[in-house]
This record gives sequence, structure tokens and C-alpha cells, in this order.
Amino acid sequence: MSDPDAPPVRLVLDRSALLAYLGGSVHVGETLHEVITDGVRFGVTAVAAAEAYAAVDDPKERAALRRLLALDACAVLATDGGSWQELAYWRGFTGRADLAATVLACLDHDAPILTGEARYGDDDLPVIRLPA
Amino acid sequence: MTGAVRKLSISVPPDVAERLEREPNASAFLVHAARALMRREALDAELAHQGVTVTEEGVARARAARAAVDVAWPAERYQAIRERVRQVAAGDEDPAGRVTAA
Repeated sequence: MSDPDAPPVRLVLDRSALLAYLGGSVHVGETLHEVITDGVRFGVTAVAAAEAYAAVDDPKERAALRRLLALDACAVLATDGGSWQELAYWRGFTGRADLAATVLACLDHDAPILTGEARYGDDDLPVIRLPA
Repeated sequence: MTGAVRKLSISVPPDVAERLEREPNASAFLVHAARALMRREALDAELAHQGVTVTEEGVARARAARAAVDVAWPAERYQAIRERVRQVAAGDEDPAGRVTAA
């Protein structure tokens, strides 16, 4: 359920950022803190959330992911069925469907992607890279 | 503001009262401010649970990184790449060509 009074999404996390968060990344934590302090929200596509959830087995990490995604500061974003051709384009560009969904969310919300991935091209997309 | 509400009688310092008096809807203003604080508190509690200690220097670095991307990517650039990809995806152009908005 979307809240029309909710602040806009100004940062999108992909699977790599979610997994870094679960690994205790201070860079992800500080970026999220900065976004919330700015009065806006971060977003995660449902596909990226599902991919991250599937990638962790530890019940504590799964619980941490559920709590993160349940925060008011976090918007879990749907991928519009009418955008399937654009999704297909970005699937070809990035090589993965979850990254393609993240790109669509990034472009829909004018929000850069926080990522540790190197699959978003070279200045082709707005990306904030996590340290290796 | 929708949903159930509770009426409160609160006391505020004069400077806050003056600020609230300039708002057409002081209740909405206070709700917005309180929700922003609640979002930050909830996130910080979650970060603490994860063992992440946020520093002012780190937040400043994060702010600078996001600001740099925002400067490089104004709304027009997002719009340009969205439209370009829609054209390519709809088959109007050679899909082999990589879309850029630089």
C-alpha cells in the first residue's frame, strides 16, 4: 500500500547493497542514514529483495532483511508489467533481471543506485559505488 | 493526513509557536516532522542492531557522494535515457546500439 504523503524515493539499493548491509557494511549504513536525514526514502525492488532473501540462509540475516524492508523509510517497489520491453532492454544491458528491475526503479524515481556491482556500465547510469 | 487521529494539547516554546502559526496546517506540519524523526530513529535502531556505527564523517562522505551523482544526473538526464530506451525497446531503433544519456 503506497502512502501518498510518504517522502519520495531518492536512492535505490540493489541485491549487492542489501547483502553488504547484511554483512554490516558501514558504507551502506551511512548512506541510508544520510538519505533519511535528508527527509527522503530509499527503495528496493521486490525482485532485488527476493534475490537477496534467496541468497541468505542465516535466519538472523533473513530477519534483519525483513526488518530493513519493513521500515517506513524503505519503499519496496513493484515493477510495472507494462514496462516489460524496457525491462528486457536492461536485462540485456546488465545481464540480470534483478539488476534490470533496479534500473527501471532508478529511472522511475530519478534515484541513483547504491551498488557493489560493475554491471551498470561506465557512466551510463546514476550509480553510487560501494568500496570493493 | 488520513486515518485515526488523537487530539493533543501541547506546550511549545515561543519560537516554535511562531513557526507553527505560519503554517496553514500546523498539525500536518508536526506530523511530518515527527514522522521524519521516527523514520530516522527506526533506521538508527536497526543499524545499531546490525552493529553498524555511523559517524559524522561517514555521513558527510555519503552526502557528498549522493550530491555528486545528483549534479551529474539532473532530472532531464533521467528523462532522456527513459525516452531513448522506450524507443529502442519498442523496436523503433537498432537494439544493438547501447543507450547513453551522457
